[in-house]
Amino acid sequence: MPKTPHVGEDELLRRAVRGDEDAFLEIYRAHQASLYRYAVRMSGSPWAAEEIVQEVFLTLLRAPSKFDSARGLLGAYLFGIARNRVLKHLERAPREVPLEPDSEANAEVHGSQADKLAHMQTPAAWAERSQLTEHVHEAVLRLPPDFREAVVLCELEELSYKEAARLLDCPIGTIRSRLHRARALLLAKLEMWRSVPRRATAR
Amino acid sequence: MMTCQEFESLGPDFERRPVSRAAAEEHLRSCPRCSALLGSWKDLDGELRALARETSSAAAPLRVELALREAVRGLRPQPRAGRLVPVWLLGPAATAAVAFFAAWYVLRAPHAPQKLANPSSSLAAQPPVDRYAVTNNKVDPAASEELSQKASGAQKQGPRRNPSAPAAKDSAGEFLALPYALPVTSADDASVIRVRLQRAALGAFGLPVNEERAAEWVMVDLLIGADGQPEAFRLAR
Repeated sequence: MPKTPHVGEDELLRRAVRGDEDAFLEIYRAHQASLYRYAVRMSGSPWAAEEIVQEVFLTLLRAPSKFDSARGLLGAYLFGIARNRVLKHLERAPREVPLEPDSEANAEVHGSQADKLAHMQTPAAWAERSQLTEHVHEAVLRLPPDFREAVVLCELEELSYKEAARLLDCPIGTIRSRLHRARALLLAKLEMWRSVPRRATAR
Repeated sequence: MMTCQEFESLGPDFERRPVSRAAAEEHLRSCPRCSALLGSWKDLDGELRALARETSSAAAPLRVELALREAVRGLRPQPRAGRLVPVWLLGPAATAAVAFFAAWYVLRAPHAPQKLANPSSSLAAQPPVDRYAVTNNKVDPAASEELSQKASGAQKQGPRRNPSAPAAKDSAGEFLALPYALPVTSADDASVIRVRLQRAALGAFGLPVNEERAAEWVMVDLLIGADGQPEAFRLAR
């Protein structure tokens, strides 16, 4: 997410649309990771996130005049484009396929298993921890988009309520409310997940 | 005293609000249900932080950057051909080109191909024939000798009437008969004209042609019969 203003974004953009690769790379590398994380956390699909990031920057290159630095930072503008793309994606695929633990793309997002194992004491602890994280991620992906967005921005991207409200162009109270309801839904889903294996093993 | 409903509505953010923090903490001390709820919230925050850590290094793959760089390269302005030559030069250049072709046309008019009755004057004639397509032939030595005599007869008359004819000095070698040529009847009826051919066309006369020099231009003397058809040829020096 856009956190710090980038000096000379206008000039960089002007040079980029004239074919200056270095100027474009400076813009791209400053914003791509946060946009990709937002897209992948919202869509649950690395492939969709990849496509969304590409579309965001292509839109910027094709219509650079739509960005007005007087109205906000370039990062916020790019986030707006990414958000529209993500919402369109969610409309097209309302029930996105959950992330598969063994998929190659998922490994790119979650880091290598060797890295994870290095931080765990035992393979059993690592497996349990990994499974729990997967369930949390799945539960986040099953939230309604508005609630999911609040969780992604405030909990995963660790933006303040004020920053999230500015990005989403809504009051802070709305962000707080969405987060509150999202937590309640997440707790319910995770509790349900925890209780199902217990019942299954009790038989 | 805060109620359970009020505590729930505050959520885990109550710690950030000094006004409600004291009341919430007092409620928690007396309400095990809300204490358990606070524990669940904290667990959930921990899970979400773990998920955030795991995905914090996620970034778009390199192939996205490569594709976009390609798109940026496509935005570079292409140099326009019109700018290579100043516009003000186009008018004079066109005028000079027209003048050149007009002069060339006027100068070449006297050398237009024509059938010359006099062999000596035909030696000086150099029609601007570029290529002379002739079907493949087989050279008959006897006919070649006869043709050479005929041509020399024609040339002997030539220098007497026109000593300055250039072909008389340059020509060498024997004439080779063309495959379709009719038997020679009289030297007086023959004339020799000089044409300019590409070496590639000599292959049609049965001569070996070096492919590397096939595009070169050479001068060839053609022996023209009374009927106006070429009967034999030879290379001019």
